[in-house]
Parts: sequence; C-alpha cells; structure tokens
Amino acid sequence: MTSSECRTRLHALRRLALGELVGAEAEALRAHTAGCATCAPRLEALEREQAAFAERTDVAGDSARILAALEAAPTTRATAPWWRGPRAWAPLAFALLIAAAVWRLPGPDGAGDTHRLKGGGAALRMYVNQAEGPALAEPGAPLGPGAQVQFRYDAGGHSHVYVVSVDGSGVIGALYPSDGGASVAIEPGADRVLPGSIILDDAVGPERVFALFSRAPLGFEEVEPLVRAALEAHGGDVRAADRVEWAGGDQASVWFLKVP
Amino acid sequence: MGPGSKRQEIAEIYRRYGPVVSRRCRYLLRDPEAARDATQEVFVKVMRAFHTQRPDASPLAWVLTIATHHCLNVIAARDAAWRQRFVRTETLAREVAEEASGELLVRAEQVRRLLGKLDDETQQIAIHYYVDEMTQEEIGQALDRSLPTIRKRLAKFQRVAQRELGHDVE
Repeated sequence: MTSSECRTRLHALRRLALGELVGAEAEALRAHTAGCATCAPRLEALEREQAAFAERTDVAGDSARILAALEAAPTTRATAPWWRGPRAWAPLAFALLIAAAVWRLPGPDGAGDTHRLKGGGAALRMYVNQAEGPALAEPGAPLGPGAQVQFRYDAGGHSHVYVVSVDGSGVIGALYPSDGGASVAIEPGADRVLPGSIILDDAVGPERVFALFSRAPLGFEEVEPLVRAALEAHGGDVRAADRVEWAGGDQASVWFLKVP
Repeated sequence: MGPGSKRQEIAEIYRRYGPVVSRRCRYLLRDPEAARDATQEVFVKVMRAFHTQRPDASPLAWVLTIATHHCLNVIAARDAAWRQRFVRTETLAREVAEEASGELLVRAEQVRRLLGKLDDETQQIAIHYYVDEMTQEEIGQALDRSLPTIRKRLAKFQRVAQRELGHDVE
C-alpha cells in the first residue's frame, strides 16, 4: 500500500528517518527521496515530527517515570496514569475526560428539582461550565460543541447509580460506569458530584441522560433494553422519553439540545 | 546495567520512537490526554520487550505493533464507539491535517471509521497495512502470522469497506 504517486512506502521512509536502514538500502532510498516530489515532503514531515516531539516533551522526566514503573512492577501491567507524577496506584477510571480546572460549584440552589420523577428521592442535575462558573442546565438547554458538563445527584437512599446517554439516532452509551462494568457506588445524601466531566462534540440534536439509582449494581445488559424500550415507546423522540419502565429503584433524567 | 545507563537507554528509545507512538495513540484514542497516558504505558511495554526481540527485527515494526495493540485494547475496554463523540476533536484534527498528506489522511480516516466493524486482528493488520504502509511480509513478521493469514484479513477488511463505505480503501 503506497501513495498513488510513488511506490515508496511510508514505513520505509520512517525506517530511514529513524536510522534503521543502513548501507546500500539507505543510500538508494535517500537518493530516490531527494528527487521525488511525494517522498521528499513526507520525509521532511517525519523529521520535523521527531524534532517537535523532542521540543515539547519532557523526555528526561518521562524516561525516569518509565524506569520507575518498570522497577515497581517488572512483570505486571501498569493500570494507572502514573506518569503524571508520584502518587499511589489508583484504579483505572478511564473514560471521563479533562476537567482539569477545579470548579467552585454553587451550593444547593434550593430550586425545585426538575429532574426527579415524582415519588422518588433520587435526582440528577447537569451543570455546564461557563466563564462565570458552573450553571445548572435547564431541560432542553442548548449546548454547543466543546461545552463541558458535569453531573450532580441526590442519592435518595440508594447506593449505586447507572448513567447512560441516548441521542436522537438511538445510540445508547454508558457514562457511569465508563469501563463496561456495573453501576458505580455513590455517596449518600444530596448534591453529590459524579466525578469527572464530559466535553460535548459537534453532533447536533436532542440527547437525554438517564440515571438509574438502585441498592444493587446493574449492568449495561439490564439498562440498555430499558432505555431502548422507552425510546421506542415514544417513536424515537428523546425529548418525550423521560422515564424507563423499571421498578428496581429510582430514576431521573435530563435532556439537552446539541446545537452547532 | 546501572539505573543511570538504563534511564539513558530509555530516553534514547523514547526520543526515537516517541513521535510515532504518540501519533498512533492520538490516531486511535483521539483524546489528547488519553493518548499521553497510553504513550507512557506503551513504552513500559516496549522496554519490557526490548531486549527479547530478534536482532533482525525492525524495532519500528514491533513498537508500532505494541502501540496499536495497546490502543485497540483501550478502546475495547472503554466500550461504545459513541463515546468518541464526546471528545474534543478540533485540535486533534488540525494537528493530524498539518502532519499528513491529504491522501494518507483520507485513508487513515476511512480505516478508523471501519475499526468497530472488525475483529481485533483484522483491525491491527488493516492499520499496519493502510496507515503505516507496511508490506504484508513486514506485518506477518511483526505479528508472527503467516502471509496467507495476513492476506485473508486484508481481504476481509476490503469486504467490510465495500459494505460500509461502498468502495475499497485504496
């Protein structure tokens, strides 16, 4: 597989740039590259990439951390982003992204909870990070690409929650847990924060987040059919499908509108 | 080998192969922070295996193999291709566009779009063939698989491409 303009492969150019090719093979490829309008810029780009990596990367620091990881667990696989700095080994909590800034979240606003179904004590609220600080997202709030959102909940006497998102095309995915496991354990009480945040992409249309609160963990195989059935019962309209048919605990949901 | 020498060895290998590993992690994981984590994890694996490789083996080939396999595992563990949609992609797309020719970029995007439709081995072989532009022989050597197996996986990839994209990946 090569560029349509030249039979020289990227892999060969990479090997040349890295000094893996020697002798006549290297000389022949260099001679070809010097006169090839396709290969010359590709090789230059590879060499620029090498230089840029060395400039932007703390090679010495990262190398020391790699060595430390090798010595700490020579035969086992590292499961935490240890390279960020010395800290205790932490369980891998992979999927949730960024939220580097510390939010000064507002205290309980005392407003009526618009995201709790009647008869239950659990609730889910979505906050959007804005320049002036996090703001509670009302149902149907328009959110553009790059919006950073975080969820807070009232446990309502439950010990676990499973949070999924569903979009207008019917794609359902787990937010919490993010690793394909079962419901995450939650703290008792009100106005608790689910860790991490999510940055929205540039897809448009309505999306809904469901939270199923329970006293025993649930799996995706239990939750997905419930959400799917709710969506189908409302003709695929995520704005109308605000609850799932489920008696295993309490539930809450919030919907928002992804805009360009 | 003393710790100072070992660290120097790691630094040399990291400096040399870091760019290609970092690029592979960004290509597959898309999230810059996840890609940085994965790059470090890949190099731990690289260093564990470094002195066990055959003298005639291409370090680049097996570094790419380790990085690709690691990232595909991360994606599988992360679950649900839809999650990719919640990643900030604008910076990453610009970086990739600046660094790649238009043709290679289009092909790489086509391959990535098909990954979720393929088994693990076919994903890896397709990336090495269409994105890394390794020969079938080089792929077979890196993955310790026979040439007929490589050809079979690539044929499967093209069938999926025809079905999903309506055309072959060129």
